[in-house]
This record gives sequence, structure tokens and C-alpha cells, in this order.
Amino acid sequence: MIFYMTMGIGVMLLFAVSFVLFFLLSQRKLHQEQQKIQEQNLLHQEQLLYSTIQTQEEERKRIAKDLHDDIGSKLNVIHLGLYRLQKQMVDDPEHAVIFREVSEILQDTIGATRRIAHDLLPPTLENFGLKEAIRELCDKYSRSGAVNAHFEVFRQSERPCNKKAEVNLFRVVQELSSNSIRHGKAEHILISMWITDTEIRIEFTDDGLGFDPDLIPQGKGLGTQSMLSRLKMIGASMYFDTAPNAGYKAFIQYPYPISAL
Amino acid sequence: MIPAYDVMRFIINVTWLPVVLSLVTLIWKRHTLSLTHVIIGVYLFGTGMVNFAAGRFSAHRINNLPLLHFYTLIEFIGWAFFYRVLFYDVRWIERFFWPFLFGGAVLIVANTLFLESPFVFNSNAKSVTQSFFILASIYYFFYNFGKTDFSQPQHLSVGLINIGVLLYYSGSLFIFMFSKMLIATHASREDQVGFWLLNSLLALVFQILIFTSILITTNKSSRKK
Repeated sequence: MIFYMTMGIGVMLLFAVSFVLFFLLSQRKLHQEQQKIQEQNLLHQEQLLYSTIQTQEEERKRIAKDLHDDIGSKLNVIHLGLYRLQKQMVDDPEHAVIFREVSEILQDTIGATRRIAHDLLPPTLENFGLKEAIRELCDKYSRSGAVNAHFEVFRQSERPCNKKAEVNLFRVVQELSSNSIRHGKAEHILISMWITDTEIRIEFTDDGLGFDPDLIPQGKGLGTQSMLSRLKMIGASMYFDTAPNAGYKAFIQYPYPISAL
Repeated sequence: MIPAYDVMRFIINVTWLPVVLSLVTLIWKRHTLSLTHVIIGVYLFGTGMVNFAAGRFSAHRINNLPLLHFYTLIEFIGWAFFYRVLFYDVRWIERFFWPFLFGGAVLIVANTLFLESPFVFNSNAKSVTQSFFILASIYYFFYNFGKTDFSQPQHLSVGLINIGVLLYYSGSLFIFMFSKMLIATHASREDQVGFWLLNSLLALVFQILIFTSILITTNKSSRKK
């Protein structure tokens, strides 16, 4: 009986230990597989977002170019034609009024087309780079009276930045400024930029309402998510500091890719 | 060489340490406990009381087996409630819980009254209840396969208790099943002590796992605060 009892205990213990080990190992394997799938999904989503941002940027560029080069120049030709037509027509006060009205509408349309094209892709960014584009953005905001925007640059390097990074950094600064005005109700914005041989650093500060980061789920709205994706896409990072009624501060760091150094 | 009986007594005494530490921790952190750990606390308190009384009985050379009969009932009710909490979302368990608990308790008492005297080992009741604990623990692992994340303190904590239940009751099932027969067949004292030594060793491991589980869950609660 002692033998059978010992055997029984041994078998039961062996069963229990094997069962527990089997469970733990299978569970671990399952978890690893689930994690792998989750990572792949995340990567896929990220790539999808990157390509959406890239397509969006290319579309903006195309529409801006079409507006400026095609529609804009044709409107100018129409305006010129109208001006010539006016000269050739006999003096009739009624015609003169209609001409003036049409001319004004046409000039407004030319102005609006140019503005939309500039908003879609500032030519300054294309032609003079990030620094001048941000400066222009600040001037535009200050002129509009929406906010008093100030920009300062501490340039320690003359090295050029790649266009893709510049466009994305500019979009982020644009989004931050727009958020400060729309949501933060800021009166002053200060953008400081450091350009060194290895990186670009941007510090964005406003005196707006700020917010409690804990009250926003995961600290990410759609705008923030888009900004973070843009920055991640170019290998940059951002963190922010805010509290209710204490303004908003964002720190962006874009290290130049090692291959470009 | 140290006699097996002394080693067994030593292990039994050492087992008090995790039991007492578990109880102190549970009382200390009573406001942050989950229901499973409240049940574990009540179970540990019952276990401690019965074991303490059994020790006193033994010291006064009084047959302490009636306490084992009583303990079987407490143990059954304690683990039944514990698994009810773990399987709160399993409809058939919720549906049959009260008839099962009542039926089980009646059978344990009936076994003591009509089949196995309180002054002998209640091998029948012990074997049945221990089999139930083993099955419940296995079912827990099957039911939670793929849903458990041991990086989460609550999952790890409950998982450790279940590992303890499976190991302890699987190991001691045959000991209690044959304990009555060991005496009836006049097995040598060395053989009997050997089995009880193994049982006490398993009980020590079980109590250490329970204590670890409590530490994990209470540490999590403290951090949360």
C-alpha cells in the first residue's frame, strides 16, 4: 500500500507541476504572439498615418502650385483683359460702375487664391527655409491682431535642413500656434529656435489658459496625435508642460539623422 | 541524523510564520483588499485557529481528529467562496453555487455523523473536497488561458494562490485518502511520519505562495494610493 500511495502522490505532484509549467509556458508564448501582432498592427497604423500625412503634404503642394501657377495666372490675364476692354469701351457711367465692381471682385479673387495657395504651402518655406517661414507666420499672426507672436533664432550653424523635416516642423509650429489662439486664448506667443550642427530645437511658449494634462485621455487629442506622428516620422520628439491658467510650453527636438551629419 | 518527526515538527512550526505574516498584512491593509483576499484572510484565520487548537489538543494527548472534520467543512466553504468570486462571470457556477455549497456541507457533516467517526480520519470527505479544489484550480487555469497577464499584480496574485492550491492538494490528496488505511494496516511510524512530513512541506510551500500573493496585491494597492 505504501508503494501505491507513494506512486499516487508522485504522479499527482508530477501532474500538478507539469500542468502549472505547461500553463505558464503556453501563456507566455501566447502573450508574446499577441504582443507581436499588436506591435505589427501599431506599426501598420503608424505607416498608414505617415503615408496619409505625406500624401496630404503632396496634395497641398500640388493644389497650391495649381492655384498659384494656373488659376492665379489665368485670373491675372483675365484682369488684364478686362482692363484693356475698359479702355476700348465708350464712356458710359453705367458700364464704368459694372467694370469697377467686376474688377474689384476679380482682385479679391486673385488675393484669395494667392492666400489659399500660401496657406497650403508657404512659398517662404519652399524658398527660404523653416526659419523664415516661422518668422513670416509670426508676423502674419501679429498683423492679424489675433495674438502677439514673437520669434527669436539662435543660429550656431549654417547647415541646411532637409525639406521633409522643415515642412513637418513648420506644420507642428503652425498647429501649436493655432491651438494657442483657438483653445488657449493666448495673447502672447514666443517661439525660440536653436540651430546647431547636430540638431534643431524649438521652444514654444504661450500665456494662454493651459490645461490639466491628466484630464485629457492619454494627453492626446487629434491635433496632438498628428503633431506627434509628424515628429516621429522625421525622428524628432516633443514634450510639453502645462497646467490650468499657467500657459503652455512645448519643447521640440529634431536631431539631424546620423547619415546626414 | 535528525529524525523525520523532528523535521516535520520544525516545518509545522515554521509554517506559522507565513500564516501569521499573511494575517498581519491582511489586517494592516484591510481597506485596500480585494474580495478574494478577504476570503483568504478569513480562511487563514480559521486555519490558524484550528491548527492552534489541534496543537493544544495534541500537547494534552487529546484526540484532535474531530478538529480535522470541522476544518474540512471550513476549508470547503472557504475555497468554494473563493472560487465563486473568481468565476463570478461563469453563469453555470453562479446558478449551481448555493445548491453545491449546501449539498457539499451536508455531505461532509453526514460523513462525520454516519460514515467516519469524528475520532478517525475523514478520508472520504477529505478526498472529495480536495478533488474539488484540484478541479476548481485546473478550471481556473483553463478558463483564464489567454486572459491572464502575470505582469498585472492582481492576476499574478490570484495565479499564485491557484498554483498553491493545485500543488498542495494534488500532493496531499493521496496522503489523506490513505491516512485511515495507514493506521488500519498498522503501517510503520516512519512511513506515516514520512507522508506527513511531505504534507507539512507542501503546506509550507502553499502558505509561502499565499503570503507572496498577499504581498503582491497589497503592494499594488499601496502604490495606487
